[in-house]
Amino acid sequence: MATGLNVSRSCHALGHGKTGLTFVEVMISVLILAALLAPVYKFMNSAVRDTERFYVETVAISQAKFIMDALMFQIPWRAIRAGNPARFEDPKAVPAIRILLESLLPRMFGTGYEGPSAGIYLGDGLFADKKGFLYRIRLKCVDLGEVEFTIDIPGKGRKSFMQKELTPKDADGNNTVMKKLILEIRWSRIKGVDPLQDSQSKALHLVAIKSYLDG
Amino acid sequence: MNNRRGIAEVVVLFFAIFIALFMCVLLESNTSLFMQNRKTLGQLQAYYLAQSALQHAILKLRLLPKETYDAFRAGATVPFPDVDSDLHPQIRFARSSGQDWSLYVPGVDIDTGPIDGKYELKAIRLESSLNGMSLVQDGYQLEVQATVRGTGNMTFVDGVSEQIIVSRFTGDVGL
Repeated sequence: MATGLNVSRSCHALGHGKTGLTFVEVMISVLILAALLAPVYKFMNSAVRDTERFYVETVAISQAKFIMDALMFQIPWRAIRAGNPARFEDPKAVPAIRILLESLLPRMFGTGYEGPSAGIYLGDGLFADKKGFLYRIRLKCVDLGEVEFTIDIPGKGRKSFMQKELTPKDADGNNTVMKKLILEIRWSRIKGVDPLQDSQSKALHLVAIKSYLDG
Repeated sequence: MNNRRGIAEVVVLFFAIFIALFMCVLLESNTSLFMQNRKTLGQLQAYYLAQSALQHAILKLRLLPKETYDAFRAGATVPFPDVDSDLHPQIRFARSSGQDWSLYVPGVDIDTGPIDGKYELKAIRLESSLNGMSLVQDGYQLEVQATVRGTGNMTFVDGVSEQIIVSRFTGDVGL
């Protein structure tokens, strides 16, 4: 009730031009408000930048998962060949494997994975997301040639075998049965900038060992 | 006049609290996103190391099917003592001390790599054997575990358990 009375009085007073806010007072209040909102604006601006930073990181993680799943569970062991970047080539030239590689590799590496000749591809490329951020993707494959296989048989003791005692040579002339796969995805936080040209670029890595389990 | 000033103070206080709360929510949301990405990546790496361990163990079953069966028949409990990444210098996962480990740097050292972790076979059991005239197969239960040490003292662990059927004389594997 008291407040209602005050408002009524205030309106009444304003109507007669006796009280109210002067232009200077309004300007001062605007200045105070601006001073208050400036750090808020700055904070929100940095929050938006952070959100984009997390977005590119999330896209990179998602792409890394897709690539590693394809490498570990879909692409045959024999078609992933050693190198930095790794090479994709089926030594048996099975048409179905070639079709698989042709459909998977653009989704894995974007562009630039084409090898020196038909049927040969590189684990290297430039991938662009929907917002225009660029990602460099590279896969290194290392043949693990000196891994020992030990078995402990009670009464007979431990027996160790080298790979050459257990498996014939592969298409590259090695007795390899395990490969180390190292994936790097590098990105720039600036849209449209190649991460290799950006000194502030960020990267993630995933590593796995693929064993020879092809049929 | 005094009452009007009181209302202004309340309005200003309300406004300030609202802005502070808004900033806190934004900050909290960004911090949790940052942590979530770190955790996702660490967990993903642990998953692939666990899958690597599983493939390593299956490979041994493929290469040494008869020997593995003989080991279990002789009472073995740990016939594969070496399915452990730390026991093989070529497989070992040790993080490089440099911050900028990259495949784009020529001649990058892979003995020390981008991740720090290990995998191992926790258990292997012979669960069944089929000794038919035309089919001799053994069923094994495998349990592997992988550990990844991430940044900021975070550790990620993942385990996989799988049943494998192996032909005792050809080493052919069925999952």
